Amino acid sequence: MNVLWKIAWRNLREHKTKTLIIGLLVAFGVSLMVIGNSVLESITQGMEASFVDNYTGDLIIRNTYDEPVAFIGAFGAAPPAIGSYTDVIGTLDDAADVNAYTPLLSGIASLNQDDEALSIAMLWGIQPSSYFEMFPDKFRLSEGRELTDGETGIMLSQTIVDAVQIEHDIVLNIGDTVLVSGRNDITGTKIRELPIIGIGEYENAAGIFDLISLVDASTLRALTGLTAVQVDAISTSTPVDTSEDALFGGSSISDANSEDALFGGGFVRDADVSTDDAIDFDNILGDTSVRDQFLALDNNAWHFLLVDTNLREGGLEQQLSGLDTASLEVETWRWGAGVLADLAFNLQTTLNIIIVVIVIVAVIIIMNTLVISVTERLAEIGTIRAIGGQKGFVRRMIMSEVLTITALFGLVGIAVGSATIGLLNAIGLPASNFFLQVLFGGSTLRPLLSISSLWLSLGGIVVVGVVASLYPTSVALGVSPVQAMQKR
Amino acid sequence: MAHPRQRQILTLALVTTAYKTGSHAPIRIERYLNMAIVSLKDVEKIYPLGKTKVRALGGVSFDIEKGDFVSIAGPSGSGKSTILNLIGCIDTASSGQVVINGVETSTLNDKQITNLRHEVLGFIFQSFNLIPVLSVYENVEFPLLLGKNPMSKQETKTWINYLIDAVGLDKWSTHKPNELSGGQRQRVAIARALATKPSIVMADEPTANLDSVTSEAIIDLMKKMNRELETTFIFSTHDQDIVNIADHVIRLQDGLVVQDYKPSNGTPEPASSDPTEQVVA
Repeated sequence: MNVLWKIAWRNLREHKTKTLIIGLLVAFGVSLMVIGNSVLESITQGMEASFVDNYTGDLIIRNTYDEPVAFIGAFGAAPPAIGSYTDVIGTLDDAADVNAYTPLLSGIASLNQDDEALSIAMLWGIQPSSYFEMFPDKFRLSEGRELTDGETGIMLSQTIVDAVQIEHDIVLNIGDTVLVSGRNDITGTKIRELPIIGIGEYENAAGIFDLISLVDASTLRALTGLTAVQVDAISTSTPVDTSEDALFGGSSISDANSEDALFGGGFVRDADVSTDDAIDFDNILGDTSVRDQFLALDNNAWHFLLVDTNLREGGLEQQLSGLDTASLEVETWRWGAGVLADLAFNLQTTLNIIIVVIVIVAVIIIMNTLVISVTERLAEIGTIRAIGGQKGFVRRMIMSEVLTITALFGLVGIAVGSATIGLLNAIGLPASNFFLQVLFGGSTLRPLLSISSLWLSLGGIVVVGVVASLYPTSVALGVSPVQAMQKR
Repeated sequence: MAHPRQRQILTLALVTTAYKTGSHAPIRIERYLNMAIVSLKDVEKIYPLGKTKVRALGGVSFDIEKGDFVSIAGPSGSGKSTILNLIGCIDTASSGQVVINGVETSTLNDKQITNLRHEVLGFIFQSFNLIPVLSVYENVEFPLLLGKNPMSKQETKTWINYLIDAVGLDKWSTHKPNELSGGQRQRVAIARALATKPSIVMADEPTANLDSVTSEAIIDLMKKMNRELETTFIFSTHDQDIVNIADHVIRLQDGLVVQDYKPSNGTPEPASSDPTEQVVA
């Protein structure tokens, strides 16, 4: 064994208390790094896998909007519908790296039955064929079946069904109908009666995601006001005649202020009403084509396009570059997760700050202990210098001791951290509250050992060791050989 | 005037020493034709003490020849340790010249002077200063690990074992210093000082921490090594009995050389440095 390592090892054994103080600090910091980073990496990886597999796909295409918008209704309003939808899907159809895509609508509505408000539901309007092809069996049915293209209905969240039974003593079954009401700024409040086609929920859904119900796209377009005119106004600025005549028919209110003018000379009389004949509403209301146009739904109105692709954000943006990309944005699962992802990453940042603080404290404690150790060994260091040891030898001697202790106890820390992660994986980390459920993507987290955290920890050990030894080394290098002559 | 062959050998020795220590100082062969291995010329050492200055040495001059067994004697505070520090190249003179093995030490940088200490000098300390975590064998071997070791592994092992045997510690070679008596520790220190086969061994009051019997044994041992290896021993002491067995005595008082003589020559000689500052016994 090299004499440096021999001296280092024996000195550490000789000064057990000092070694233990430094070693336990190093082991604690390293195990905290391994456990913390592994848990958080498991959370973010689990969250990413959960979102990509269940909810968002690899990338999300959406329309730009000046105000904050969100993927999940509970986190904010959806963005405007994708303006150049047909062009975008044309491009996606031609792109080699795009495996699949499906459009999606997002909204929030209240569920009612028999004039009784049952629950708030987050609704995703889907194109069933492409949605279930891209996300097969992700919405796990406990009853009923999946929606089919062109069918009107709702696949209701199991959590909502259970909550309704508990809170309202109403059992919702397949085939029952529920009233879904939503409000928007374009068409006001809209109510639709929907048959329950299926009951289920996403796998490991927790918190908000177990409230998601799937509905046919037309229903959600009606609830969110995605009419043809509104869409056209955004995407193509098609001129629409919004004059009162156009909206309410030929009788202009401005023509006269008289009651006759407003309602005709003899409203009932002139309307050619006969108790024997059906009422001619067209004649009464005049031309309603423009109003119909406003209320007509746009079948190409979608808030999002979820894309299964090997491309990254920039790659997909490149593919879409031939279009009006200024109005399009490509997002990742992280945007889709919204505040949940922010929460996870903020937690990771917080942990890293804590680790940095621990590292600084560790460096100071190790440094002080080493300085004491050096001052206790002035004669020894002086002797080494006197009998021909260069400054480099003294530097290497101190470094060897620091690296030995940090590596040794660093490995202990890694072993303890790994064992703890193994234990947590075996018993599971329970999510005791809503936020943890959301973060864990379920009621329990089974963290996996993060290889990157191991490397990070090993790197951290070396950095801590080197930094902590700088000052003690400079003190040792300042020891004169004359110190060896000091009488003791 | 020296014989040309003698000049050649000396030049080679000086060049070798300069090469080993990395010194670029001019080699003045004339100075060493008298075989002085250590030469001090008008050496002063002044220590700052707050706003005042303390003169530890006041213009000291003397020569030490190769193979001498030299005692630097004098009472406490006379400058013995200061002179030993200067000869041992672990301190620098305030003025004057210290020449070791033909090399003017003030011209060397830290690395060169460390090399000089490693190659030319050996040290025996009053407090032994062994590395506590190393065994007797490892302590003796330690100086060889600090720099270039011209010996092979087997030669090194044989040499270390010879030294340990020579100091009478062959049965203790695996023991740590804290398992040895004071005398045994000092024997280890002597063996360690000789490990690199130095030309000069410095010993700072090597018997100060030992009882009289052990002291005598240690001095005998140093004398034996001096004879067998022709190593120059320079030791400081204030013990007159030990001074008596030296073959060159330099006596100090108040930072000045008051006696510089070889007992074999009979009577003490006047000091070779500034005669006006010397007190002749």
